[in-house]
Amino acid sequence: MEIPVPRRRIKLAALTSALLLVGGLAAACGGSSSSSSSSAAFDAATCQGGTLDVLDQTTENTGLDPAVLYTSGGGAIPRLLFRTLTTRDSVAGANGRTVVPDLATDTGEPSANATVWTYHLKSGLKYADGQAITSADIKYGVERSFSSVLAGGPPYLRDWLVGGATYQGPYGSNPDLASIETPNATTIVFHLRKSEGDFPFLAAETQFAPVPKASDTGKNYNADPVSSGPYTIQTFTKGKELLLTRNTYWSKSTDSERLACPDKIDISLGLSQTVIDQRLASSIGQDANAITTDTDVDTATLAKSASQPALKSRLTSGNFPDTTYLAFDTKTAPFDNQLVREAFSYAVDRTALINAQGGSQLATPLTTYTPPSIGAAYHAYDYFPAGATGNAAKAKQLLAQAGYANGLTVTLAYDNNGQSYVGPANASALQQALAKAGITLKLDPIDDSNWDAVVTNTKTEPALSLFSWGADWPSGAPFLTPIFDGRDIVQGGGNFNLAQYDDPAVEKQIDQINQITDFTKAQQAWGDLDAQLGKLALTVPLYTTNDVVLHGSNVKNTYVDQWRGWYDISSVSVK
Amino acid sequence: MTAFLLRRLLSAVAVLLIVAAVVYALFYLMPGDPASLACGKRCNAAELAQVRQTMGLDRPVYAQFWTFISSIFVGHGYDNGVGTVWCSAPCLGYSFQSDLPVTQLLTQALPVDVSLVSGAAVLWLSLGVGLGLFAALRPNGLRDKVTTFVGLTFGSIPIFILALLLLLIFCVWFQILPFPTFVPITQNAGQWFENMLLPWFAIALTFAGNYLRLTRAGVLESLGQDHIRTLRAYGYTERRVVTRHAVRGALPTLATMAALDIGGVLAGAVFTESMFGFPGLGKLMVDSASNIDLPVITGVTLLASFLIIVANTAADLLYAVLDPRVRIQ
Amino acid sequence: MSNATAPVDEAQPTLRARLWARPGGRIALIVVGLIILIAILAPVLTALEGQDPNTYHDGLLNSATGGGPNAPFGGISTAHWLGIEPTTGRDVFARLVYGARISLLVAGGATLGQLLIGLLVGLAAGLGNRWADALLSRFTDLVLSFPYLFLSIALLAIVPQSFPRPALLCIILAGLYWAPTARIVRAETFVLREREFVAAARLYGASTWRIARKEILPGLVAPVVTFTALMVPTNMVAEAGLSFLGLGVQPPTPSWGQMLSTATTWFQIDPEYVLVPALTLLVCVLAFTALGEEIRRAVDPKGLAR
Repeated sequence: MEIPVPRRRIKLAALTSALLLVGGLAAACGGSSSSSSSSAAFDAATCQGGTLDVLDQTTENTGLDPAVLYTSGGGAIPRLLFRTLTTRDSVAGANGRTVVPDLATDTGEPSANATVWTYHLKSGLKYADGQAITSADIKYGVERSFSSVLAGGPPYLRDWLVGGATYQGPYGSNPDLASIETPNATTIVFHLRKSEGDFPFLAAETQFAPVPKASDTGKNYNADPVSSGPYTIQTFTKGKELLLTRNTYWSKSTDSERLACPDKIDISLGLSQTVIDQRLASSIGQDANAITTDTDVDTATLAKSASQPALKSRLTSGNFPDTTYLAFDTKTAPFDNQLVREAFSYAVDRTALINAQGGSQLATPLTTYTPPSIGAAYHAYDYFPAGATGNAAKAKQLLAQAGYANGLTVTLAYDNNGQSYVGPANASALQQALAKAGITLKLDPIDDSNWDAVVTNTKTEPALSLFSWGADWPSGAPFLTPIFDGRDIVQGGGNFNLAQYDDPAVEKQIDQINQITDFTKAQQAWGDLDAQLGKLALTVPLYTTNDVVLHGSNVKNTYVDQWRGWYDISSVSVK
Repeated sequence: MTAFLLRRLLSAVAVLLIVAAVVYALFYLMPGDPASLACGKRCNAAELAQVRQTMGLDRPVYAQFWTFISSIFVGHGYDNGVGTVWCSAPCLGYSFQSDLPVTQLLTQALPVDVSLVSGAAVLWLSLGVGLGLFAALRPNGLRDKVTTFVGLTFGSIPIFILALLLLLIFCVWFQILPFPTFVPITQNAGQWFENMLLPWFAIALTFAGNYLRLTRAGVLESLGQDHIRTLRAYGYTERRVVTRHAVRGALPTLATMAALDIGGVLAGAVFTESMFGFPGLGKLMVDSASNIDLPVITGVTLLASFLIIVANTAADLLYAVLDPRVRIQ
Repeated sequence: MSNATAPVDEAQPTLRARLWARPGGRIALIVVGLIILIAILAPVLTALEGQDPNTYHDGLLNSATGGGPNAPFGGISTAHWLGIEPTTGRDVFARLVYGARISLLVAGGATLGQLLIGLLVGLAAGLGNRWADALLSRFTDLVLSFPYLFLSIALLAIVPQSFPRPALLCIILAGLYWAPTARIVRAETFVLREREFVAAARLYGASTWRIARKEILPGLVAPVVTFTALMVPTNMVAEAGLSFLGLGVQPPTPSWGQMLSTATTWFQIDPEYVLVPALTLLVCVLAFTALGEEIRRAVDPKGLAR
């Protein structure tokens, strides 16, 4: 079971709080420095000082509880407050997708079949209140995330840890989770019920941040969590402002992944996309020191940048590995017929879809299920070449072969939220493209608030829907298993295998790949699996999104990390 | 007077109760499940049940409604799983989506609307009354016709178009104003003022036309009256007659209108706030409607009704005070 | 409130003539007539242009800079009279004329609904006994103090998408905005029922229903038509506003409010795309408002019904 990350660019409304990926990746020491208008070059040794302003859309109304946060690679703002066993490598480029040690001395020692993972903590680790960080605190932090009152985090722990399925968290009558052992204050051992070569990636999530049991205030912890990172909360007004100051007990000597240049970080919450864009683009006064961790540049700014080199130099682009695709329920007619699915694959007009997303800078057409930004698990293929705008003739021919010579009428379900990746603009674009191939698409808008419940429930799943999938970490496993593993077909809610595809041979393959602890080899194997599944046209991959982000003119060492596709604010400097 | 106020108070309470009941009832007809929304995306059955119980959704609708009403007066403790959050009176419920009492969300949003209405009202009153007097000085002359036409035209432009056009002119073509973003007056008064200008004008220009018309009509009506004729006979200038004396005839209607409009904007300027991204009650409403955050929707709607009722009562009182012909009983 | 106006049989035939006699009235009538004609003839007009509202024109867009039109001035050309929509390349003229249908349909439907409910409630209050009047008047006051914009937003958010949106918009607008009509009808009914001809009918033993239909209703025509004419533009703006907030008709159905809401992200680089729907809506609203005003003046030249 894995995670759905239908990430949304949110403009006006619909902050589906739990899934807002709060972003920002860290630059390694002396990491690549991108554009900066200031004369002084960036130097990690002297970058300290000043106040960084962050302009964000998120309201953080649900607060900053490490058990509740649902981040990718630790997020942006959370990563300033919470150190985890492992973390993402703070560098620009493809290496930003690698996992590196954070609190731990290495990324984990696996047992032979990758079911037992052991970590040792570095020495001299301290919280913002001066207490020492112990392995028991990390165990307690993980345990808290099992409590139903602190729901919201990723579901992997419950699925992977021995006894996780029934454990109710540390507040109940049975507070201890036996599958996490802490033989001493610096060692922690996790016992998994199955092989998981990707465990080090999971250990980068905020659930692996230490929480001192004495300071736990349950649900109220989200307003004032104890910091283990380079900053600590000075004031926090949900929906308005989060002000961070230095954690004086944090030491750079134990943390090679965060530069922590600014003395203060002032985060404005709940702003609109337009306001953020306008302020960053004009970059006047204090806004020169501003950046965002969750807002793509809007089309107006993008278009203006074509003629304004100074603005263009402040734009940075990156990727979060995601795929937006057309999902078939392959157990239902007419999509049980592979010819029909192939006809759809030929008929789609990817150019129209890209334009609906805001043009070729913001999205890239995709003919494979896994996007190139996933790394080694991407294997190029295009089995049903539709060209840039669709091959209606070929689609018609296949439909005729399938017995629909006079065309076909089907219903497409989509999310009625205009800001959604799987929203009305895409549905309209598909409708007009498929019409050319004789396919009449009836549109079925589903309320945003009900969307996930309807689509991921096997009882209510539409035969044809738009869907989007993002990986919680850059690996083939969280990308392929939830979508194509027959054992992950969950009856009732929470099913992401929308094709309802189950092939025991494929399941066996998945198990074998999960046992590989050599990351590169495992990714190659995932890529092979994708290329093999692609031939069945179980989905029609449409495009992957790119993030194009803007920063104020005085912010240095800005880069977009390739794990999450957003700025890494633990590396930037305003000095 | 006391009896009048008492009666108004009683009927206001009745109206608020009915609005609350209507809004509450509506939400039980909706397709979404508040518990699963509050619980988040990946919520198993056990967690869902817990949230449902915490939210009180497992109790009958009337019992929930009663809790809602009584907590306005006596407050209510919300068990959020680990501890109890006390929501003190007047408690309008607890938003599980944002983990905050609704009252707090409302009090956060209200200053935005107060800012909006304060400047906009000054603007629309001075524009409307000023131009109305200007037009009334030479009734049916060219300047009367032009002023009236311009005023009424602005009055019929939908505010979301007017706001868009203002943005286009001042932020894109001439670039003399920043793209507005709400800055609290307590933080920086200068920036507050600069950022409020466009929203103020958007609201004021749409409203001013009405005041223009009312002022003009009121003045012209009283110009025909005996005491004005007497003043004219004494040799007062027309300007003085109009601006000092005839305008009094328009006062009761103007004050009534102003009270109603101020109440309306205070209750949430939905389009202005959406257009400029100001976090006031209107935007809170639109946002919580798309999240189906039931307690917040109910809270905003109730507060809006409350403000409208207060404005109505104020309008009636003003009319009575300013127009000696009306006697309150 | 207003006095009863000229006797019915006289007002009816002269209204149109009186409107036509005024220059303002003539212009308003012509513009409103044109708008209605454009909406009816939408398929013909788009055929004339050689476009339809739903076809995408990827080739005319500059994908690299965000999907705006390649050509200046919003891509206005002989093929696309009012340019093309950013990110889709759909024809703006075609979407505009088809959008007129939704706009008029909803405005008309909602006005009709308000009129019906208002008449029913107002008549019942005006002709019923003391208790019926008190009850219905209280109810009308109650509805008047509803924060109707907020309730419309809430309702549109709650009702499932499967419910046809234009109908839903009509129902919501009618259900929430009928109270002013009811008030006017009640007041006018009070005046009329004291008239001699009503008293005479009552003496002859006519039923309340018959009196309402035969004696009162004709007398209500003038004030009600005046008021209703001004409700049309109000409803039009309400529909556009709700669509602007994303709560109106669903894509790909064209609507002006929706075009305006897309335009909010494009007004800086493609101002033409904002101006077209904005000015169209503006002209419509002004024309209908002017028509309403002219009707009022024609019906009540002395300005008594104010």
